[in-house]
Amino acid sequence: MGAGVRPGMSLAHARALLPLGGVQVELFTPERDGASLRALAQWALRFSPLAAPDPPDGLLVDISGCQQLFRGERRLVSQLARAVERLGFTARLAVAPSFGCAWGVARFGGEGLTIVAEGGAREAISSLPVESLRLDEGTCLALHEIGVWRAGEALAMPRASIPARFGPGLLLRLDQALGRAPETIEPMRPVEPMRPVEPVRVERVFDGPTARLEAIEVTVRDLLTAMAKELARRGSGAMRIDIELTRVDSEPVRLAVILGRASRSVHHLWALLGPRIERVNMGFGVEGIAMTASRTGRLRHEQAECWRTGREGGTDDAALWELVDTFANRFGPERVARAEPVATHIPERAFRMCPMLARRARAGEKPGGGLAPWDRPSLLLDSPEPVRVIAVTPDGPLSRVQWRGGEHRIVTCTGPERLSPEWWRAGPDERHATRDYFKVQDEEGRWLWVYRELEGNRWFVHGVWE
Amino acid sequence: MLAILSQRQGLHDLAERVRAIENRPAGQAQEGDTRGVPTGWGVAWGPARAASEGESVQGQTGAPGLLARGVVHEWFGPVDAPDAARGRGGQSVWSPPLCIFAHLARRSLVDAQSGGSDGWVVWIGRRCWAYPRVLAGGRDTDGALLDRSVFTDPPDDGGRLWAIELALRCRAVTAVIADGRGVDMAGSRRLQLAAKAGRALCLVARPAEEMRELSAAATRWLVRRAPSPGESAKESGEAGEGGPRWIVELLRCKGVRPVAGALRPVIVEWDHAQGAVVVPADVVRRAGGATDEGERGRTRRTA
Repeated sequence: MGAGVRPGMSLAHARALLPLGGVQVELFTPERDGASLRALAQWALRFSPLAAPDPPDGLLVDISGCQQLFRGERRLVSQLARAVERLGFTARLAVAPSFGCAWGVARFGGEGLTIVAEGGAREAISSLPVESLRLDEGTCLALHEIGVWRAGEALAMPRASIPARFGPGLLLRLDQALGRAPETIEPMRPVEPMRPVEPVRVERVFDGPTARLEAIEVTVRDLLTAMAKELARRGSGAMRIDIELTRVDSEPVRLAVILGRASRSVHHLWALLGPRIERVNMGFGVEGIAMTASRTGRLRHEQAECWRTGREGGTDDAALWELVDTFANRFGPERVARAEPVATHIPERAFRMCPMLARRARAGEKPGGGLAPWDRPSLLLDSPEPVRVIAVTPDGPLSRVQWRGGEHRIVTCTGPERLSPEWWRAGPDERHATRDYFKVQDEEGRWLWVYRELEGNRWFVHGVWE
Repeated sequence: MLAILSQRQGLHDLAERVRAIENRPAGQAQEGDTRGVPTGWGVAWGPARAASEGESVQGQTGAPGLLARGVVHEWFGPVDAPDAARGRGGQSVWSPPLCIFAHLARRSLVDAQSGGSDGWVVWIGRRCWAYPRVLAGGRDTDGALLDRSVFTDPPDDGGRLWAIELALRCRAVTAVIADGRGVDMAGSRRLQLAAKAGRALCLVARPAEEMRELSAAATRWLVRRAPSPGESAKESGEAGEGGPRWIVELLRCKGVRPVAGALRPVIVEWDHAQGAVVVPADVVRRAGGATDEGERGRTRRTA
């Protein structure tokens, strides 16, 4: 700007004014500018509840009443100016009693910040050009033709003749600049931030502290009923319930119940909660109970049945999940598991026991697919047990195996089945030596799965067919 | 005299009604539920025997080739072949007959699915967890058993009994396979009642040294290891698939008068290709094979 580059100038002119390489050419895209302006207006909502973009290059903010929050109008505006500057914009600011006045002063008044005091609007705009009144081009030209260049001169004209000579627009703009006519702006609506759905929370406070188990049990059931009602209204079921019992003079007791599948059945939830409540140390008495469904899942409405017409798959599954929940809440979630096949040929790693509660219900999930029909023992020992073997010839079939203190005479021996380590595994502890597996039968009919480590030539029993 | 007669008649009627009520399985509305699970080994027991056993066996427990639901089946072993009474196999390293359990669980699941419901199989006790590869089945099956198996490992004996009872009462469960070590008479009665309330096939494994313990189980089975001809025999075309073999013997069947030789021990073999425990072909041949029961026998004869 200092070099004299103005909007509307040709690119060649600007290049002539500025030193070599000082001109950066970017395509003018009004839509992107508009979007950016709207974003700025959204941002400006932190200074005032009313902010509106004023395309193409303005921002209107109604700060009346907001100065209280910023300890004064000047502080507010300077803070706004600094913030806009930090965002990378060069801004001219004006504070005035009316939008019209502020518009003109910001564009045609002094550099930086101008503050027009209450009642100083006429004085502030009278020295500005008539363009500062937000007039259309035709009206401006008409005013210029009769020698009116300044807004003050336009204000001095007799009011009665203005509409007839220049149309109604000029009078309205004059009045708006002086604050005589109302002006509406279209403020940005604040974007609602994403807020998590309020968890279902129910609470009861006792009249006085109580240590009676019956009272607490009744209250918990009551809370469960209330919670189930609210969950039913939302069409969801609880997957985790947190209970807090506030006690007199001591820390509150917190209990948590985790479910494998969303449920809002009071009967089931009570079956999980009841035994836990019984064991709570109530101290000097419980003052209140709060119950929160901190994790919920969708649960579609189920038609109540008057007569049992038959069983559906869904209800059977629900029964199983209730069983799983009950087990998991008594034994711990990791003690209720399902086996998931893993794509590997290493026997001890071929299946993973996953806790049932950690299971995500995936559609189309099909475990068991792609399992090769290998002959594997029905019992795989947790860790292979070292054994001593005797073979008649070094690489021939085994004749005796000493295992668990007994000597087994081998009558049949099939193999070897060679299982190589997975070379793509990184650590040496994850890889074992190449193994040759043999399926052997002793004379009593016991079948063992023994292997030899090729490195070191050691023998182990890895499994049994029982 | 007439009065006494009618009184006696009334008492008789009453007794009949009480018996009927007692025998009616609780909570079993469907006809199919009272039926047993086919083991597929009926061929070895033979149909003629089954007929001579009469309906008491059919209704109650182990009709040949049929394992009743709603009662507890106790399984001992496996013990070594030569002498079961010695109980050599039952030290601390005891492990249940997992192949047979996997087979029965699969049969139970198939049975439940044919009845129109998707059942679940619950394995209770770490000792009873079969290596999942066995559950995944052979070439023929699609891993349904593995998919519908739940494994749980209660930390203590009380918890184990509680878990078995709860699983038995759950209507989504079609088979419960549990480690029943150390369950006493009261506990087994609890289990029997729970089994009666549900419709699950209940298989409880116990070590062989507990064979003398009292129990309320409906049947007790003993599994002994049997030498198998092995792969070599298979190649030479003699007999068998060459898998592990066991002798399954019915030790006790509640409510059935012991008839000598009624249910003689049956030799079964693990066929990993099918993922099933079957009666080996050579045994079928020896038994005469003249039977309608068991598809296995049929296929053998046509082959």
